[in-house]
Amino acid sequence: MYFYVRQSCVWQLGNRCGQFFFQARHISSSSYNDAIRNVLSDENKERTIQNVTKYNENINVAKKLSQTAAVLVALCYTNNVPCMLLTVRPSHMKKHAGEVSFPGGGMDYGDTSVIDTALRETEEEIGFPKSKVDVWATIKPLPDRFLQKATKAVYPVIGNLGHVDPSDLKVNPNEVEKVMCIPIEFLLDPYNFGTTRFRVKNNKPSPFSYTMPIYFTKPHIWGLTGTFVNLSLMFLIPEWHKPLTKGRFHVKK
Amino acid sequence: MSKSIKTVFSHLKGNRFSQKVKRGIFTSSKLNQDSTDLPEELTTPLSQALKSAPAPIYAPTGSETFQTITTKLSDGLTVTSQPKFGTFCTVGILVNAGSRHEVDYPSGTSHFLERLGFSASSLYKTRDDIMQAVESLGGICDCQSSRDTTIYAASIDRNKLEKLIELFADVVFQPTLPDTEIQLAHNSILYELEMLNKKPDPDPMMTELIHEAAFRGNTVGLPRFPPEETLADINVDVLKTFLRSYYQPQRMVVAGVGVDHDELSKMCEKYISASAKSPSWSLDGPVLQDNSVAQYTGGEVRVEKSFDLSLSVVPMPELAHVSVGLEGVNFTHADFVPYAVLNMLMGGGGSFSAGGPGKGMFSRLYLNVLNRHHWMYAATAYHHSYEDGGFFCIQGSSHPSQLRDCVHVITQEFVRLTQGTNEVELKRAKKQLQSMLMMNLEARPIIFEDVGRQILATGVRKSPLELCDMIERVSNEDIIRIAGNLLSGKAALAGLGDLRNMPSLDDVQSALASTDGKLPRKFRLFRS
Repeated sequence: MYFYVRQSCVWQLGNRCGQFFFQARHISSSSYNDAIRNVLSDENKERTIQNVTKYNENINVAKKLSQTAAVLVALCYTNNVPCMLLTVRPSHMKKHAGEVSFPGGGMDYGDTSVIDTALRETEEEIGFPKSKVDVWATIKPLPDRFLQKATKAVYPVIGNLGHVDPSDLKVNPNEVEKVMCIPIEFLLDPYNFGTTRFRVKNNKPSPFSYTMPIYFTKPHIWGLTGTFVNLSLMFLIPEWHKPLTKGRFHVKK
Repeated sequence: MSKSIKTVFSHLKGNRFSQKVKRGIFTSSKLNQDSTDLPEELTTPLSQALKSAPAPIYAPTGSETFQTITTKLSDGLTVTSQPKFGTFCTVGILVNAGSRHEVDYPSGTSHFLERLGFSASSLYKTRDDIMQAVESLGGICDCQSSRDTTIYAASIDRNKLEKLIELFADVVFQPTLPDTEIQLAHNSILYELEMLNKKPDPDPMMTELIHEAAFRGNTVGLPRFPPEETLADINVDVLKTFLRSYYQPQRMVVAGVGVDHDELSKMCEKYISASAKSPSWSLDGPVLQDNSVAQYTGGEVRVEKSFDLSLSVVPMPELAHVSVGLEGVNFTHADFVPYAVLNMLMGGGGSFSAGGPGKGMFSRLYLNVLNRHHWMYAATAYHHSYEDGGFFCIQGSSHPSQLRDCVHVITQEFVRLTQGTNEVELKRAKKQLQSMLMMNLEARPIIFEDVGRQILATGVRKSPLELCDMIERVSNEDIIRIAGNLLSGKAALAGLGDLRNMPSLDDVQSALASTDGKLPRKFRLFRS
């Protein structure tokens, strides 16, 4: 048969991770509203850390990394609703102008660990002090440009910023144009979620075609940031977030 | 003297004529009495009804008669029709399948199916049989596929609709796909590719490249014209899987212009729905359906190519082509109409255009670019817009040695947009857009495509009057705002030809982000 078997594709993260976490259903409460309210609770924190550790066991990081970077998957309470905090990059940036991302950046010489990098960059970009961040877990990295240069790695660090009012933050205009706090409920809603399949070689289908999530916020969340959001939601609320599958689509009319 | 004038003009007094009337050109037995007893037709004022005439039946006024009617059948097929006066009608099936759905298939599958449209099916042995059948119905038929839609359409005598629907049901759902036809289609596509490569006209190739640059590796960025390597991979199994995955009634719209809606619905139910239940490609088999959302990525695509300039008797100029694109909006977005006005405002075309009214000679790309720089051979603005994304680009052509200046001029034009427009310019652009819209919608095949595509994409058809209203409401603030939105995202860059002097994507990005749109200065001792 002509068609390649896509299940063998290494980067079908959703399908692989889904196997680990649906066992966790019995631990926390089953009602949706309770689950949302408890997302940032200590109980959920413990469970998330367990989920991340389980996931990390199966990821092998390349020994030599040409560049390490880290982002802070920032969870926060805004208007008494659990949210994820994202930033919009300004248009004068050379790379990824105008796109949505988490606060983060490349590792500097002074950083002892990726968590340091994430926290330092957060402070530089949005002015949120390092000491106030409650770091939960570090997820093992995904390459920056999918399957092209596997030696560049970005570590997402899940952290809880507590109560945040976006207007209070001292934003650095060179690196951040604006801060968005998106309610987790919005991100869980399948209406706001879509997938895009990418071909690596533009002419033929290949086993390396990959699927990336996209969230329909004001500038769309896509690319690596979208993947981080998807992964993190899987660790945080596995029973209410379906893992990434191919071909789910709707048109926002 | 006066007497002579009287005699000269006496015939104009109407003496003889009016007497004739009085005596009765309308002579009848009743009227032979007084000259004052005139017929009713002459004595009744125009504001009153004639007593002897039958009571008039007035045609209903209001927009109900010209509304597009849409209904959905039980299997998900949408039927829509637009009433129009005339003996002929245009009817067709629009399928939500195109080159954007080809992630899992070799590129060019839908193009192949376009070539195989209206070819051998269960009731008609060859393409000639189908053409003859359609001719007997009084018309022509055609199949066309684009990035997101495939259309099978025909224009025929409106009394012969039933036969046409039966033909459609057979041709679309029961193709036999014999090897001879596939081989023919293969050869014809190879020939088309050869012509594309030879011809100096850059537009089809540049459209491909800029789409690839803007939507890297996904949906709309996938190539529409199949490259030669993948053509060999397309066989009957691939075609059948594509048909099975995408040619489903819930992804189709049957649109008709100049037909009766109930009649069309009944016939669709009778023929098309029945045929769709057991198509020739059999419903059991692998289904590879892709429903990706188009994602604008930005990026750079360069194709080095030397054009064969010896094809014409007159010496042809050696040209390199470049296109700079920025993220736009999809066609359901609230800002879609302002982008269309912006497109008209920028306008553009070839520098050797003959000009004339309505050609856009006063659009910005003509006034600021083509009229001022003799070395620019062409500059055109396009807004490509799809269901879930779009981009706005300006394509320019010049001699390869001046490619950097060409891009420089384009980026300056982009940045100048943020300063807004003047009233005359904006009014002109809006009027041109409205007139182009109305003029095109006078043609029945275009009405058909408009109705079909709108219903397929959004489920609702915006009437031309609504669109004209929306165009009228576009203001200078809208233009400034969308210019800001355009410039805040990543750029897409595509180049074709001798690209030694083409600036890099980083340079273009910094130019678009700067206040004057100028490319970063490059110190060069020797200008090549």
